[in-house]
Parts: sequence; C-alpha cells; structure tokens
Amino acid sequence: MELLCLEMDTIVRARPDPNLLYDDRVLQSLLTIEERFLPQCSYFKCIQKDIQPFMRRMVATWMLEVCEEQKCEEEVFPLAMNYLDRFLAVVPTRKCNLQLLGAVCMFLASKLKETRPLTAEKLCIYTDNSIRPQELLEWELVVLGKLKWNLAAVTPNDFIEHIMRKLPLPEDKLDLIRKHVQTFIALCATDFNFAMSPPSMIATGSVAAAICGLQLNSTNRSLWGDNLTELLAKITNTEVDVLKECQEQIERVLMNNLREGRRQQQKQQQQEQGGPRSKALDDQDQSSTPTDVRDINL
Amino acid sequence: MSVTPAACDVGLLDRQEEDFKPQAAVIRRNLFGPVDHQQLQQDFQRLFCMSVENAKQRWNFDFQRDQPVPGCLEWEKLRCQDVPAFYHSCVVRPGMAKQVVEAAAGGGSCACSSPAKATEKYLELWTRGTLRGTKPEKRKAGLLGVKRRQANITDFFRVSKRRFLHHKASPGQ
Repeated sequence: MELLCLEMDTIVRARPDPNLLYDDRVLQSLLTIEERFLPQCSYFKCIQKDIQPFMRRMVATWMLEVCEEQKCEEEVFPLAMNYLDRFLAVVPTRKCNLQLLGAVCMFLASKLKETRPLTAEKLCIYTDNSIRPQELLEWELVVLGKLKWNLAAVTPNDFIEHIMRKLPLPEDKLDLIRKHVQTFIALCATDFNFAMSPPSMIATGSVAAAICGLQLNSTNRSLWGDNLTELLAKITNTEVDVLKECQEQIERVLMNNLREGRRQQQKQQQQEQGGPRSKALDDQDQSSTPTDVRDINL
Repeated sequence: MSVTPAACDVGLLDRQEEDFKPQAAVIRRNLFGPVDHQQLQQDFQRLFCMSVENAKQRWNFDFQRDQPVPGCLEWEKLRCQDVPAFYHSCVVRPGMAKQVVEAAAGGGSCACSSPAKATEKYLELWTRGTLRGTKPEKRKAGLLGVKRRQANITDFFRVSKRRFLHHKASPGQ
C-alpha cells in the first residue's frame, strides 16, 4: 500500500454545508440567539471615560487593515469587533490600552475561525511593538473571562448565505454580491452606530445595499425597490421601516468612507507624486477581507 | 517565557520580517501613544484577581491553591479511574506517579522536561458529591450541594495542572 501525502501549503477551508445552509431551523436559531451576543450597553455614555467614539473607529480601521493584510477569513474582523464592544461595555478601559484590546480580540477571533490563526508575535509587531506578546497573552485571559468564554458569537456573516439563497439572484453575480455584502458588513463593524444592531439586521441591510449598489434590481422585477425590502424583511423577521433605515445608514457610511478615502488618496498623491505607495494600495484587493470600497458603484 | 523585550523584538523581526510587505509598514503603527507597561500590569493583576475571586465565590473553590473553601457546594476528590474515560487527559495515576515518571524519563516518551515537573502533572479530578456516586470510604465530606440548575461539564471536573494531547495511555492499565 502506498501512502500519499497531499498536504500542501494552502489554507484548509470547510466547504459550505447544505445541511446547515438549506435548513430553515438554522436561520431561526441564529435569529433567536443573536441578541445574546450584543454589547450590554452603549458604553460611551455609561462605562467609558477615557475612550471616545473616534478612537473606536481608529482601532477598528487598524484591525481591519491587519486582517486584510494577513488575509484573514471574513468573519474574523466582525467577530473581533463584537468581542471588543462586549468587553468595552463592561470594563472601563484606558485609551492607551485600546490597541492592545483590539489585538487581543483579533487574536481570539482568529483562533476561533481560522486554521492558521494570527500569532501573538505578529500582532505585537503590528502595534509597532508597543505591546509585548506576554501582555497579549495575559490580557487574552482577562478578555475571555469578561466575555464569559462565549466566543462563538453570531455575526452578520452567518446570515449571508441564508439570505442570499432565498433571493432570485443571477447565478453569475453571486460571488460579486457576496463580496460587496462582506464589504458592507466590515464597514458597519467599523461604525459604532451599528454596534447595538442585531447581526441579522446588518446582514439584511448589507444585502439590500449591495443589490441596489450593483443595480441588479433593474433586471428583475421582484428585486425592485420596495419588493426587495419586503422580501428581505420577511426572511429575517425585520420591520420594513427599520430595514430601510438600516440600508440608508449603510449607504451613508459608505459615502462618507469613499469621500474620506478619496481625500486621503489625493493627499498621498500630492505628497508622493505617484510613488510606490499608491501601487501598494492597489494591490490590496486580493485579500479576502474586503476593505476596498472604492470599486463599488452606487 | 522570560525573554527580555529587546531580545524578543530582534528575534521576531529576523524571523518574520519577510511576512511584512511594503504596505505593512503603514499598518504597523502605534495608535494611542506609548503604553505604560507598569500600569498595564497593575490593571491586569486587578482584573485577573477579580475574575479569580469571582470564580472562587461562584464555585466555593480556591483555584489557585486547588482547595475547596466553605460554601454551599461540597467537593470530593475522585480518582481518575472513577470518572468516565472521556475525562481522562493524563497518563499518570497519583499512586503510580513516581514509577511512571521514572520510566517515562528513561524512555524519553514523556512530554515534560524534568521529573520534578512531571510528578505535578497528574490530574486531580474533582466533582460534586451529589452529582457523582463515589465509594463511601473516599468521601471526605457529607452529601449536599444545592442543586440550582442543570449541570455543566465544568461542574464535574477541573484540570488542575497539565493537559496531555494523547488519550491512548489512560491510567489504570
């Protein structure tokens, strides 16, 4: 008998499981339990004194960049943000420790979701060595305790396939839609306004925004405007008005980000006159965590 | 692990620098200024002690000393072989610790580096008296235990020292 070693240096991924994705009970269970994993309160008002909303955005942007650079699975970033928000909702934290917390949350989310998780050392380097691996490991324990070891939180990403399979979408556009939805979800995770929203609503709003953004609704009557919103609302038991509001908010956040991105790009071009930096930015598309929202047309 | 931060950094950079592409230099940044490591350590100690204390109150068990403390739960010590094999994660039985460790040290199959460390590594499995039937002569304390809710696995046992990955060599053989 010959033994074949087919182990390769590739990332091992589980295939989509139809038993899970085509069973409505799974969706219903997700909808039932998702509220358990929301942060306990809007913590900038009641818990945090040193930390302000713009700092959350800073650390979130950094985390997204790290996840993208390291080609993490899509869920890692939203999951890490869920940990971060839940921790901040119970523990008053110093500003100077916020990046450490972000690193710890990525560390945990990556371990839960990836076959090759991020290492503590790598994460410390991304903080420009402002924290030490030993500190990361110690705080991992603290964060785990405060999250009560409930790490398998429901994220918006869990709903994508459940929602998409119930929509009459063109087969050849599915990958593109999925990518846009993931981008919107990541975008929402960077914005504190969505931190208290149920993941199903963020997912539904993101699907709606993606379909509208790609103008797929012009090809199919049933995906037209209000029809789409009603269909989506039914799938995740959301109120139509709330869903519309959510979609509009997502589109607003996108517009702001695009504007911000353009401003930064201009600044860079002025500074560097088309140096190696702008090339590097173009390469970012290849990662699986999508941040690049510039290629989305509204 | 007691590497000084400086040595640690240098080593890491040597090993991992190739993973860091040009744009990584931009991502690699300190967001909120210098970290006060002493303060950080104090914060950690405070939060960590708090969580240990909470666990102690909740389970009336001192996890640092590995001893029960007075409270509404009664703890009993069980031998490894008295619990289902599923919970076994050790290769050394308390009574046989010395022999096995010596054998392992000779054969080189033991994962631990020194026998002194190895003797510590047998498992102590604890369980609640009312939830697990134990032989009367092993009972340290009486019955009791307020049954408040459905039991979790963590109610039944705690791994106190080291955990081994291979389950093949279960104790009592």
